[in-house]
Amino acid sequence: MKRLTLILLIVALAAVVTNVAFAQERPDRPNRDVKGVFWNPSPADYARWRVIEGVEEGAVIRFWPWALIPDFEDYLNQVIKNFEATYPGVKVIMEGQPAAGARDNIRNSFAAGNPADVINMSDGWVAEFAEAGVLTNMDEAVTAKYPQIREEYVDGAWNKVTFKGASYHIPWYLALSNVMAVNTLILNELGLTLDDLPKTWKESFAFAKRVREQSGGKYYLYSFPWGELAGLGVLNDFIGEGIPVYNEDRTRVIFNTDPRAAELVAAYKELLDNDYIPRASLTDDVREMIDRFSEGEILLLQTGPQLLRLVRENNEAVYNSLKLVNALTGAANIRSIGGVQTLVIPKATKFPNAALAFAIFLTNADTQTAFSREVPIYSSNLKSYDDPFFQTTGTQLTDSLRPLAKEYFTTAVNTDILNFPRLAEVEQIVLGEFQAALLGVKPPQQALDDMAARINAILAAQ
Amino acid sequence: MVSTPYSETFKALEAGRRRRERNRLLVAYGFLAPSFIFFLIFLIIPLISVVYLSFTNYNIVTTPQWVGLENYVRLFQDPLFWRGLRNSFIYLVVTPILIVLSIWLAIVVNRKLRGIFVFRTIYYIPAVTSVVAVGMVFELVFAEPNGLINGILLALGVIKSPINFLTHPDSTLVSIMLVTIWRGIGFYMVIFLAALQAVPEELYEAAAIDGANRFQQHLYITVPSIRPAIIFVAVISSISALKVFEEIFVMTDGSGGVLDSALTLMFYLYRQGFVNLNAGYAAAIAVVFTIVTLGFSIANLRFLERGTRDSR
Repeated sequence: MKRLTLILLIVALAAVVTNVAFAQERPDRPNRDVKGVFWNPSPADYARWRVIEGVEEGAVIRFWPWALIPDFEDYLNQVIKNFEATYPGVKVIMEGQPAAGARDNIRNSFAAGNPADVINMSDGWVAEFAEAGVLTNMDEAVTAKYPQIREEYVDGAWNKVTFKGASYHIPWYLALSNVMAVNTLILNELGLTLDDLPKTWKESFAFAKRVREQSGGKYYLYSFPWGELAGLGVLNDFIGEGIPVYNEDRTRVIFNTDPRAAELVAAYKELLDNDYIPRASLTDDVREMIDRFSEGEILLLQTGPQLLRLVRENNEAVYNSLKLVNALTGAANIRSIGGVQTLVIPKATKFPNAALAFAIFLTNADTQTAFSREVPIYSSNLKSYDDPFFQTTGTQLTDSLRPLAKEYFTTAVNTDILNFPRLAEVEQIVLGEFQAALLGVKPPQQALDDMAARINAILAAQ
Repeated sequence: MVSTPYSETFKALEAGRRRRERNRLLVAYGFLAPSFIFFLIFLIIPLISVVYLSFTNYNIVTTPQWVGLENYVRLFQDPLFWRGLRNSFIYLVVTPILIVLSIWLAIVVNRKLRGIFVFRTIYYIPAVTSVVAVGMVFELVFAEPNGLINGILLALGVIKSPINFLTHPDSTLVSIMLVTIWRGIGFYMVIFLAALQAVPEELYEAAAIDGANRFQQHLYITVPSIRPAIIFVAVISSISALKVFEEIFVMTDGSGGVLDSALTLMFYLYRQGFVNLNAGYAAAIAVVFTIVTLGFSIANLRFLERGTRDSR
């Protein structure tokens, strides 16, 4: 009996040890380095990671990641485990936010006076909360006190959104915006090659017609996410085409005075009117655009490589046929910092140093490199790119982009960053007038004039 | 005054009666207190707060600032407010359609057939299905060019180009109203079914002997007999229609439809309060909306009750 008990105990212990050892291995994460410093840290690593002073002993901080749970739960749990070992006495409670409705949840949490201590949000949302005066000024909290830490970050990402000249976020992961995915199944069926594809947006308008006609109405070249989440989309398109959005002192918008703006909107309207793009582009957001692409009826997908995993989840056959090529460019040929995921800290947090320590920890070089090994996102911390992982390619579709990332992010610029007070209202104005032009309710020039006049009224009221 | 044994007894009885009355009141108020406190916290105080906030400039995250009637003045000059009000009233069209269809369905399933409960259950399922799930499914049903409806009609050659259910300003609101009708039929069917089962069978037998056909029997017996249920359904379904929000939010991905074509007053209230963070302005919309709904409901009830009195 004693022998049986002993055997059972050994088996149970072996099972636990094996599970712990292999729990970190995941077949869908082939780049994960379970022996690296992130998954297997030493006391020396904890000491190296401890960079923030005055962290409140016994602090319990809440962290809201956005659209990362459950896909990256084990990674984030390891982040928290490493952090709590780095700053003993501090506890992190993670409360994952779903993709949809997160912005409202954040607003409501501020309204209720109970926001999390560290909140992950899209760069497009930061200005609203900074303007409301509820966020910690990161140029005061980090740049002034820890200049050596500030220097680690990609400059364009740190300054992606500013309010009255100051940054209110710490940049987390970045997306490459200079690539697009091609469905080669469609390409081959149409007898085309990658070299035949358009290089600029202007070229693409004629090509959209060609794809539609050559396929007998079966395929589209691309679709657009012009739905609610498009936000300031068309204004960004103007920037890409070299159309100035603001006047010199940024007190007024002037995009409507450049005839190229109305020409671009008219070109979009022509695409829509002639069914060269799916009409659902009017209401689609990015996820719906990706779903549409996954159905195998769209040739090109302009999105960050990290979202290609959604194509794989939707339709593996399409994913396996993908090739990555340079994204379409506007006339200005801008290499811009794309979407930046940010971390913000509410000004009213009870534990400002612990919250800051966690945000800095989450964005340090080792933690972010490990995240890049999980999914093709790119680190906002320049020291990450010293890791050999970023010098090599692999077998995955997006692996070829890694060696190009550092050069891209250090040379990409933030041209004409769009910052508006009462951002949500400006987004509604842009979307409403853009839709009015697309649906023929107003001529493009009139829609742009009305759009500019309404935005200027908001700017003048400040 | 000299007290007598009689008056002493009377006083004692009176005191006992008062004590019992006091105890009875204490017990009654004791039972009432929890629900009153609940009402106070979750209805009365929020109601007063909303009225107060409607006179302030409040962005949810900072302290409200008193602005007097400014929100109301702005409201009546706001074209989106009027569009929302107009769309809310257009949405009321679902009420008579719902009533007619659900009475018809209730009559259909009000039969003593083996397995009829299966059909009753099936028709009721939309009422207990999450509106988010319903919205997502109907987005696929209405999708273009290859949604369920467009795909079938295109394949059959009935239409040459897809119907723009959710991408045309003239059809977005109507498409969403169809979803509301689909969701509501089963729920109201159950109410009418309960009412129908209280109608005496002899009335139909007598009418049949008098030569009335099925349609006439339902028109002259069923409808008057279930009139209280019709009034009830008319009032609650029109209030629901006026304050519709979920279907619109889900099916337009929170946008209110192209060119705000499906923007109702309730959706506009949400947008102002929780998207634009103009909570003071949203509170003014809420106050006006409450008054409009209350006025409409009273008028609706009076009209329908007058019909009942006239028919007696």
